[in-house]
Amino acid sequence: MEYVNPLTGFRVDGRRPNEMRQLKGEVGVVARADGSALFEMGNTRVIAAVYGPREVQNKGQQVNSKDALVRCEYRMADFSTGDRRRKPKGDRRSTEISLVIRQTMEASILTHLMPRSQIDIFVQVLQADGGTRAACINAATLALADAGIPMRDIVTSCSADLNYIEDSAGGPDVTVGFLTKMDKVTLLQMDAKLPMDTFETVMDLAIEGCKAIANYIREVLLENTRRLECQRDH
Amino acid sequence: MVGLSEGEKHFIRGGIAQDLRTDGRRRLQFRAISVETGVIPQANGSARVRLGATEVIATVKAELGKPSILHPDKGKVSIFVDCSPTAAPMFEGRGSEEFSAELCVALQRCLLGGKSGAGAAIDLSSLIVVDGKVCWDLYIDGLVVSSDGNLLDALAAAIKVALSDTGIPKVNVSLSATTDEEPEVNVSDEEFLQFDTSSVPVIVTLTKVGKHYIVDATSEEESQMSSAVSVSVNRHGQIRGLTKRGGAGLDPSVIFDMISVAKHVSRQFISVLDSETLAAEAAE
Amino acid sequence: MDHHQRWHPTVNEREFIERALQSDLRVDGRRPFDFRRLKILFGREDGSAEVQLGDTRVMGYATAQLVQPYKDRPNEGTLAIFTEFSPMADPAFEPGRPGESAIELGRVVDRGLRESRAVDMESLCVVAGKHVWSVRVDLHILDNGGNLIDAANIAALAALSTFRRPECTVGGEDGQQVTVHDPEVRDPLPLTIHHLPIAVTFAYFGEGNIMVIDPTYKEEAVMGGRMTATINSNGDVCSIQKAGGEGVMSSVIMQCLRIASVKAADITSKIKNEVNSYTSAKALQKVKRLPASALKKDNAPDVAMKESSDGALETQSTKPSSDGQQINKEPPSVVEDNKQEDVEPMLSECNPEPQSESRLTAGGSDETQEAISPKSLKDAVKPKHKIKKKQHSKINV
Repeated sequence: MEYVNPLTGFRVDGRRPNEMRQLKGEVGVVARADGSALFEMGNTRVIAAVYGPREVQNKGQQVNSKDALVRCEYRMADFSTGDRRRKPKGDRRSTEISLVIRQTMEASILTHLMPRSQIDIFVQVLQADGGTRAACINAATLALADAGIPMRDIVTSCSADLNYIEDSAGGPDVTVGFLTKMDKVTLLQMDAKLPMDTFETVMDLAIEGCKAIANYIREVLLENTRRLECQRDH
Repeated sequence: MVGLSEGEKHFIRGGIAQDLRTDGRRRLQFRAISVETGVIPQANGSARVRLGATEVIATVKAELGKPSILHPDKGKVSIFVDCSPTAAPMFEGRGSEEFSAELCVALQRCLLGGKSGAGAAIDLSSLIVVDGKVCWDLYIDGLVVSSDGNLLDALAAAIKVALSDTGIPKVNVSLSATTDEEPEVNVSDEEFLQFDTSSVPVIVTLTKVGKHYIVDATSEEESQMSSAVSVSVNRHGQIRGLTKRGGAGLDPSVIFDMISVAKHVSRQFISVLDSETLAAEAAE
Repeated sequence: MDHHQRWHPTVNEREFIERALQSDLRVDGRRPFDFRRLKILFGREDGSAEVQLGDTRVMGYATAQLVQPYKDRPNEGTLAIFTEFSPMADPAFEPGRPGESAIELGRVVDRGLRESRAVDMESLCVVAGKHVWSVRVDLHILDNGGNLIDAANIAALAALSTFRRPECTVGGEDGQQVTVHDPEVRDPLPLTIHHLPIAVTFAYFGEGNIMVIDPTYKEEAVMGGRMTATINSNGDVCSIQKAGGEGVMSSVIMQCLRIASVKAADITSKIKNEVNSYTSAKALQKVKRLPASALKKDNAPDVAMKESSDGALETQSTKPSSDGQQINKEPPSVVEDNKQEDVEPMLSECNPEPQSESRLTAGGSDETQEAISPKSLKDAVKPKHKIKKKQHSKINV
């Protein structure tokens, strides 16, 4: 199976090699949450809901009295993958992804402004078609903004596939979480053997993706603010 | 889950007693319902149902399997429910398991019939491909995305719509191998068979608050309930299942009363659901 | 969830550590890019190693058993990493269910080894689709002095490098019967390790402008973020884990990778030297136990040398065929061979220089190894890999 058609230069799904998947972001999809968002990247679709800042529920978890406690749970719906199977809750993979998402969001949340409080971020994968953790981070950013939680920057995430850079077998991908204004990488995950130069190219590509997503997310948020403003006027 | 002050509780109960609920509805009035079909393309059928701020997704996946030895002429259907923590922080971790299981059992009771599969809302013998060898296994998954009360009715409605949205691939069995060997099965990519979903019921839950009962309770209203009776009714007005929750006892005559009210309400509910489904299918 | 019991520095301690770092000083006197003293000890049995990295101590223990392979990879063995965080090592580790950090550590070490295909999996196949070796590495955290990932990774590599699995042959009427030979009868075989992926962890302080390598426990409590780069001595990046936290510029990340590749080369040679001295010591022990075989040494060096190189070839070539036919050719003289085989490792390892050199080059030039020998095989397997990987990424990413 060729990932990039050598004649046309298009990928299997009809995209150009460095074209990003279709993005869709929507704010306020879970009525009772303090903030929520839906984010789609191609066929990957996730929902994030934010509850808080609220009182710390379990005092034992409070890290210190200076910062807010941020918690995160990542969950996949049983029907989110092609083959249906029961997914055990709290397996090793979702525990790690929860940790990764939590620490990535912590890099942008101004936790010192909300001491002794707790912020819960829940992400639910409805459809998994690659890049779920990136989609979750983008959804979480939108949901946090929707909840009005102070952030120092918009953190977005994008994964770049290697397939179309060099026609190597397998799909080693690099996932980057990026703080756009600060121009800094907070999340970086990669597994595959790559020469360092190639890695740099892929990482740069993923960073470009993050910047594009940040632009999109900013648009969604602006649009939402305009809508809210309209509603207030009436 | 819901933190209410004494005044708020009083207001809710008083409103119900006067047939004017906090959101302006009458006691036997549903919230606005919206339906979307085909929301999960990987599934054979799927639907999203919103009842006010409650939102659920139901999917149907069909996989080829082997019929059980006891019922070689029937396919299998199973139902699972999961409550996402996005709906409420209390569903975090294992917090949703107990509640999900309760919803799941209630749905199984209404849809799957007896142990033998007799009386199931889905004709299990229509799922058979080769007697005793190959059948379709249907996996019905319900996911609660946002919760504002009346999850059971919303899930049952979503499952009903998802089932009517479901297309099962047509299967060609090669005749040569119908003897002892594993039959060769050819699953078609183009032709799909639809279910007969006419006998799939909806569930109407009557929640008793004070002396009265209401339909489609919000979570604030549910927090004030003494008991709730869920009645599943099909298109023909037949009762398919009955579940009572909550500690308080009910006089049998009240239950009969509730059943007939549920039957009456279900007729309207089914017709609203039907028209919404048609609109959703047209929009898809 | 397990971080709430972790030691928290006081405001003064935190300031002291941070202030010192601003002038490139670390509380234990190291420079920013120095590792702590690394010590690798081996146990009495093959495949067990204890790593001490400063105050951090991790024990690695490799074992193997015959299992049925995964359906989607019928001709590959398996490798799994298990972690045990003893409460003895750190009060923050709760007994029972592994915490987040234990899971993260296990997955980082596991990915570094597996996704870079460090251990040859095809050579662990005995009968395709039926029997393969399942290698398991247990990592026990004995003392948490900080930077567990790097120490655990080295422990896993050291354990795998000295691990020997029993030799087994395939026979019987259907060619499916597997005989596992007693290690006393036939020398157990080492794993084929293509390269050593070394984890190097950086800790970031301030606003991501200050970084140090190999953080201690106290530095970890103060740091704003962390990145583990798993890199081999060729400078191939095998895995990177930066799970959020303080952001850093991408140029800084590349700088870290370059530093990491230098460190990886150092640690690789350290591991290889330690492993070599362990194996030669082990070989000498055997000679002492069997003085009779020493006599043979004089009259059989040529034969034995040939055998040893044959053996080396064999481990390579069993990879593609995987039906064990080749092994079957030599057994008639098992009993006779017995002694000779005992001599063989001694012969090759009595003179450690050429041996260690060959080992180093074998590890160092693994790209040539990969490029030349199993190329045909790789090509044959390629399309399947592609599909497999694709699915994998679909589900797992």
